[in-house]
Amino acid sequence: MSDSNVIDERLNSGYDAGFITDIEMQTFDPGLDENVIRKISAKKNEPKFMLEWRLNAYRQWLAMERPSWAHVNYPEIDFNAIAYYSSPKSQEDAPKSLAEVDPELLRTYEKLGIPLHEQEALAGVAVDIVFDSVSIITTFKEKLAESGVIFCSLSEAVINHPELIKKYLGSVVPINDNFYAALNCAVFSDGSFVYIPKGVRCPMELSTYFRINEMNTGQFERTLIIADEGSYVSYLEGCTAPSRDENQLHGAVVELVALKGAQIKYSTVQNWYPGDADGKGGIYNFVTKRGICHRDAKISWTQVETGSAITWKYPSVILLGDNSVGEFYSVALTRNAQQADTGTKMIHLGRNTRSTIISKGISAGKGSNSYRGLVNISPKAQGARNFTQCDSLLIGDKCAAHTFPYIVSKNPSAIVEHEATTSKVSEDQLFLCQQRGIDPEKAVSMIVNGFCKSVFKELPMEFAVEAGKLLEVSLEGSVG
Amino acid sequence: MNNLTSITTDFTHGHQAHKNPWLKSVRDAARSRLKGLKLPTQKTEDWKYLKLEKLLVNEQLEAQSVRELHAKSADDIDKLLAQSLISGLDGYRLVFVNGVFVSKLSHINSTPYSVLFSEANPAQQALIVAHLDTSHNYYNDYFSSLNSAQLEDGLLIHIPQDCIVDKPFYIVNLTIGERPKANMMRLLIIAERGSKATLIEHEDAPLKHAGMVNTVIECFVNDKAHLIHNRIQLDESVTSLCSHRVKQGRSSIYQQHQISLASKLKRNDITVSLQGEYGRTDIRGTFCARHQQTIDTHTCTEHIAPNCSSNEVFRGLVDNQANAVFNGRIHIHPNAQKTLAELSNKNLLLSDLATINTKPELEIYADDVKCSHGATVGQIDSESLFYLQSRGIPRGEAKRLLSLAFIAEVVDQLGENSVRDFVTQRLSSLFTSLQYEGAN
Amino acid sequence: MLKITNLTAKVYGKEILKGLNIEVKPGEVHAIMGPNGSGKSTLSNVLAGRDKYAATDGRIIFAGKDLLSLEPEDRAREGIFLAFQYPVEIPGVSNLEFLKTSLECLHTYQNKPLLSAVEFMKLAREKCALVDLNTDFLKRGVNEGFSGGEKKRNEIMQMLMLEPKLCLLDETDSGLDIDALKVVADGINALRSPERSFILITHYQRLLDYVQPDFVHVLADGQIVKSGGSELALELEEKGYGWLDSGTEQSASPLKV
Repeated sequence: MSDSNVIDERLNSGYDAGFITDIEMQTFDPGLDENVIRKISAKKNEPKFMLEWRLNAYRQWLAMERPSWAHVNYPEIDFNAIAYYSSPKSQEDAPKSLAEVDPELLRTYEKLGIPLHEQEALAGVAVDIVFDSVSIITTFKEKLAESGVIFCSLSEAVINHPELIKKYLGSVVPINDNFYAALNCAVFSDGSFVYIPKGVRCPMELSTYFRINEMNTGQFERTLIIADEGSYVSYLEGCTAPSRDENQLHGAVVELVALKGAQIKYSTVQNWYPGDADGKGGIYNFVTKRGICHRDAKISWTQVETGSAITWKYPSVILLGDNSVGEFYSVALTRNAQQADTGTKMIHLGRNTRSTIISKGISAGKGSNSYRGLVNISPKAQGARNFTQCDSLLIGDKCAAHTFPYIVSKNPSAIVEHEATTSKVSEDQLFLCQQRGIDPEKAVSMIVNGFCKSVFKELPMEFAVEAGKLLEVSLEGSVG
Repeated sequence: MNNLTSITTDFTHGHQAHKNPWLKSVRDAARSRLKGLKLPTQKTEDWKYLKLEKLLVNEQLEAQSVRELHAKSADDIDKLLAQSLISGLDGYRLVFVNGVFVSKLSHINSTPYSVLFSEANPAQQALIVAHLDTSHNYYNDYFSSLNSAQLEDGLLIHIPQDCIVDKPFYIVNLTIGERPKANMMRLLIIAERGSKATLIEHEDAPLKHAGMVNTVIECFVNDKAHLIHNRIQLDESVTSLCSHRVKQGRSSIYQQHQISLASKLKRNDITVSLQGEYGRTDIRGTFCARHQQTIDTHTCTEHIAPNCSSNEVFRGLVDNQANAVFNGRIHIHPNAQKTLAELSNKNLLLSDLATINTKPELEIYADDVKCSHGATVGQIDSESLFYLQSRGIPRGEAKRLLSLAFIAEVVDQLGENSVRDFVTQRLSSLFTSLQYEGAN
Repeated sequence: MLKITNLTAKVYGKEILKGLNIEVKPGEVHAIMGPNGSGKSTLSNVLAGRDKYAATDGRIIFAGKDLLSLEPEDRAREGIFLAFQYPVEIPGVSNLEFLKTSLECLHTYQNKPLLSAVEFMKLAREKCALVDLNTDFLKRGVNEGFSGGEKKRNEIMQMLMLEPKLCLLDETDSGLDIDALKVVADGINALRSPERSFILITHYQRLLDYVQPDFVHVLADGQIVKSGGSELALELEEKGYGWLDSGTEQSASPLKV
């Protein structure tokens, strides 16, 4: 058994989350113009300021060009062929409690391994559920409210906390930041909102689970997390979608605000449908994620990216305040015809700011995996420090791995270090494992997990195990 | 700015009466390429850190004509040479002034294997035309096309099969005279199978006159050939653009040492393509930028054949308000299995106002390869500085010593003693003039 | 236990083993010696089932089974252990994780009860001590950054953990100083039992000073050209391989270290 055979065979594995939920939906006709935006805004009973914000973004978007610099190839997207709003009919009158939620929806999440009944739910994890364009339910809301934590859908926040929305929405990612962010500002339908009051350590893990179900729809959600002075929150998002032959667009925006001394830990396990072995179907995942750190604050991004046909995302940190810390830990796996262009930007503005970037790219099959990162040390970032480590693991001879690190330093007291390596799962390694009685399939996943260890240890405990399993499933196949 | 575009248009119409009509096909091909090209802007990825339009204002991109040079007095040149040449270097000396060959200063009759394009015999002419502009893809390469479009003359060095050249070729290119027109240097080096040669290129501006050089160097290192290429750019007053391309055959070795002082604008594009198995590339370079200077080094190692290795080390020193750019790309093509490729770029920022942009890139399409790259930006190690100070060495002098030590790894590897001594002395005097008191 | 009959094998298309015969009974220790290029390492790789080491003729019967039809991992599960000449590094996978997975695979196959985490740790610590490895080694990546001697001791440590039926040691003694050599020899001797057999592949006599073999074979040009008792090794030590005059490409190679 040669190792290339072993690997070829493991490349054709299933996608567990690929089922479709059969439920009555209410979906806008495809197409995008100002009327569609007005309709979305009206659907959500938004105040006037929100509608104007959306229209402003839309007008700017019209003048923008689709970015072409990323190392990914995909056909021109027809933005008029996408439906921009889709929600289960049963959500018409927002359910107040789980008892009012359509049981078919609950079953969907049970199948995905996310029980929503609070008594059954993972202890200590509150979940906001976003199904196509709308938030279905948020669990543990009352319990969180006891400590002053606000965790709700963004639509609710627009109505109930307009002062926070006005102040912070678009404050980290401006509406004209980039093509896909501007589109999101115009048409976003829902998302999660988190506010942690001063000095509060959020008593449980918060999480949002995104699910795309309906055909021909795009999912454009936003997440806004505000951690007030001295507070702490750990947040996790997960994503899945049915296996469909068409490509679907997911264009999210995530904004994090860590005020003085606050800490935000944001973890992503992204498992959107990646398309089939020939590259048919799959989600186009064009996401803008950015956080801003005030003095002594810390933002840590951890991502495990195994899904999507195309991934285009660069979770970034603006290190505005002195002594603030930014971290980025990433595992990105591409196989079949998946393409990923992902990395981070660490913008050092304050003094003694520190950033760490650990990126592990795994390419298999015909997958293409690019790390693209920017470390920017501004003239005022006295004593800034960055360490970057980018490792690529190649499995098979048809895949590709790229590294594009941009380093800009304008301060002599700053120290920036970047290292990158590539390696493969070697025949010798596989043979050593086999000689010790370990079958090749287990050996490959053990080696890949070993390669990713330094990132997995950054995930919250419950999810580290999940991520390891996800990677295993993604690499799974039968060995003859 | 507009004058640049107008000049370009002129070239493409080809109004000048050129010598050497047998080069017309090369010029014509370049002109038609130029029609599809524009002066790069910051939106062009490979030029994003340079404000070219600003940097090239008042620069001449039009070639100096041979007649103009000969009108100038050559009397002073003798004196200048005494100061600017590497003394003690026993080599075949070929001297160019403002891009034009000056035979009385060169050992043209005793220099083997070399000929000016203008003096090439028909067989050599055929060889030249068959090689020029064939080592690389030209899409998007504006300045080298400009060079080819105005090509009048150049130097061919052609090392025959299995020939080991006894002495280095010492090629000097001096810029003198205030604001002469652009100096379009063109070098073509063909090392045939199994041959070995050393090249020392020395660019200087002894009177610190401003000027503009647009150089194209093409090296063909054929199977089992070994070419050692030392390039010393000390012309701080000269705006310089250089496109340097190397094509390597099976089991060939190409070693380059590059020492570059920045100027108002200095840009070096080095592309090496390893097209035969078991080829080896070694590049050691250093760049030093100070005052308001800019230096931009782009390297690209194309691993096309399997079993090749490449190793690249660049060290940068950036002081005052200078701006340095380094972009090192390793590209492993799908068939290039068993490649070993390494790249390292380390930089010292010596002042609050200096900037370094570095981007080491890996692009890999084969799995059984070992590639690594690293880049660092930092300052002089405070421990070392303190150690020197504690032994009574003043802070400024300590910094000078440590800066020199930082680039010593590269300088020390210059093979010829006389060249190494010459460069060390020039670098050392350069750093004496640096104002360290202001920096911390 | 192991019977090799008329084995021929090719490596990358080149015939290396040319009709090799050997029989190993339970409890026996066999030493296979021979000059460089005689096929010693090929034999161990063919036995363990490494890809590109293809047996082209002959039979290998191990514990009543046709060994050549088994995948490498199944050979290991049947009880063949190869101590590698050049153990490979697996960064990120800790020795602990690696050994635990390996042991579980073996025990599952052999229908033995699995060890609890506590039992496993106790065993691993014990075996580490036997080969003079600090238990910190268990947390480090497999062979990652180990010195040559540490890698070899790690191989012996794994052998002690897995308790194989047949231990193949491929030049485990090469590159070891005398102290490390003793540690390796002690490890081997600790495992000697009436049910367990050993094949020591070595270029030199010196390991055999510490591990007394029952049989010594000389492999030259892909065949066993001479067999004898432990005295044969001493004779080789004294005279070199030249006197065998087997027509190999190697002339007498010096045996002094």
